[in-house]
Amino acid sequence: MSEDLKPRDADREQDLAWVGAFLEGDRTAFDRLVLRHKDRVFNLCWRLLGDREEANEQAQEVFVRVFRSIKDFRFKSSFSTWLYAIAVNTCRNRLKSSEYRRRRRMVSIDALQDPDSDRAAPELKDPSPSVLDRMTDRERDGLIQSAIDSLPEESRTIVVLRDIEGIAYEEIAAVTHLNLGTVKSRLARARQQLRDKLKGLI
Amino acid sequence: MDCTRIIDLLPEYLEGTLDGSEKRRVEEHLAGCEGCSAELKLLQRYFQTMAGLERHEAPADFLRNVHARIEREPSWKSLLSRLFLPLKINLPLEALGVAVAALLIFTFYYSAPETKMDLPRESPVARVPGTAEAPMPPGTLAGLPAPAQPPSRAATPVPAPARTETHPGSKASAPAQDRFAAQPSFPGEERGAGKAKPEAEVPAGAVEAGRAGPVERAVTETPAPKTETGPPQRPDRSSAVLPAPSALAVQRGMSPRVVPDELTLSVELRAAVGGQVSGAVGRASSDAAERADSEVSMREASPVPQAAPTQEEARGAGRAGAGVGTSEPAKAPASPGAVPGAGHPQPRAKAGKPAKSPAAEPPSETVSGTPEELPRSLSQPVDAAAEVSKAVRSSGGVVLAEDIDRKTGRLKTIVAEIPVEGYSAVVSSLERIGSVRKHSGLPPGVGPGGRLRLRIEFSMPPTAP
Repeated sequence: MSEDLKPRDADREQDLAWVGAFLEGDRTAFDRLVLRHKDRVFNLCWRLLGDREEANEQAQEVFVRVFRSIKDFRFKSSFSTWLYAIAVNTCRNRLKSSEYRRRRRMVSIDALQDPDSDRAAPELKDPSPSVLDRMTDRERDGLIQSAIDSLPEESRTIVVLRDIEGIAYEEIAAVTHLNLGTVKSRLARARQQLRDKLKGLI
Repeated sequence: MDCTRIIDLLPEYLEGTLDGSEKRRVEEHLAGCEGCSAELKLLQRYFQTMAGLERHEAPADFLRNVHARIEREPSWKSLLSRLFLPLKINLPLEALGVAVAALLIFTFYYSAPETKMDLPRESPVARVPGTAEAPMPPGTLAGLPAPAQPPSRAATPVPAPARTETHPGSKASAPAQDRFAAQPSFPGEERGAGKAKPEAEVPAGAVEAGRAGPVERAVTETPAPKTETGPPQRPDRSSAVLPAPSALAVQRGMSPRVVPDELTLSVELRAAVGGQVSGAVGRASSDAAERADSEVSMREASPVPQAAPTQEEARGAGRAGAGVGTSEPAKAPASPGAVPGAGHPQPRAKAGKPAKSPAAEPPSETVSGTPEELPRSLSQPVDAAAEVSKAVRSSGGVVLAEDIDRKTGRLKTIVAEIPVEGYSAVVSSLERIGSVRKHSGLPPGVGPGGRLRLRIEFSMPPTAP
């Protein structure tokens, strides 16, 4: 995980200050929070939902929920932890929705019909190095995202939070409402599942 | 440390979260284990791959879209808050209460069998001209226990009881009440009052079965041939006031059912015929049993004016104190707080009750208006009610109600609805158990294929001294 993704203490303090200002009626403080966190939330939603349009919709929904429920924030955790919890719940609800499933089925059919789609078949059994070398970053990203999409929802969430977003174990435990040991054991299992799916690719 | 334990620690080793001693042990193991070293490299590559995935950035108009969404979609939560905040916790609970009450009302209302309403048509209450303006008690519904009655708007000297407020918070919070104006309301609340206007078109007799409320009290002020002062209670054979089915249908929002014309027959039973209700009768008369909740006094509901109370009625009213409108047209109305069933110590003849021998009955109990000598050809006692019910059913008809004298257990009246074509068969069966006399001719307009409502009044022959 790159260092620049780790929220610094100063950033945490700044987040809390903006939350306080927003609670006192400063709407620009909310905008600052959105601008600071929108890309991470958007990327998290993308990785959890596997689709740009869905990610855009749900990331917006996350901030709408933040706007509406900011008064419920108790300052007992960092704002980012609270924000990720909302994001994970929003995506989880979306994943369970029939509309999402229907839409994903349609996307899958489109991907099968479009040979140039970046949603290639997720299983890539022992590809030769030459194939991997010829892959663009986008194609490789698509393969990995497909493998992530194929994980069970909980495994996917933990892997994305930890291995892509670089969120600390403790924060993941707070976001997912699991204890630390459960997070670690499930993460180990999820990693193994993902590595099995990506065998030969990484 | 074995390889399995080392492999478990490798992620934390790569993340740099192992403490010093564990980190040293892992490094010592890796130095001598090719398998774990290979695993370390794969895991390292996995981490690099995942961390190196393209980071997708939110669109440039993301914040604007969030703003638009916040303004476009008023939160249901904030909407509810605006509704409920004035009373904090109370209103949501009350709203739940409203929902539950509405569900219960709906369930009871629409699960009530249609046949409950198909009791004797054209009750005198419904015919009283002066009561046509009496509005329905708001929210009165079949099958519900009668709470404090909402006041009747009919011109009646009976002081109207205070309007019942079942919504404890409705007065406490006027704004909240206003917001709930369009919500499903409680029976008897403003919503019901609002509906009273169309319901005022319903004849006053359109009060629900088993409800003897202000409408009945209003009726007592009119020149009705019969008065109804039944207390609010579950219908009893001889106490409940029944509305005209068509009026009920209107009240229930249904198209009024066409009520067949009625023909009254008088049957004087032969002495050998069991006039009493036995357990067999109760079981055999399944049609009537199904309508047990709607059983009523046939005489009270009869459209045929009773010139004078029979001896039986007079005696029954005098002894049992059950003169609930049966033979006293000018009787003062019962007070609203009359104890339900005060005059009805015996709700009705119970199934399984042993039939008494007709010969043991006092003759004066069964004297009809114009008795005539009848042959007594039947050697075996026959259960009259069962016979008639059987005949009605075999003719394709249904028994709508039975009226049984509570004191003697004797069958007094049966109301049945039969196809016109089955009339002869039913009369034949009646002639087998007694002497049949018509009180009224075949009603006009009854033709082939029509339905005919029969009121069969039974009496016992006078006993020879």
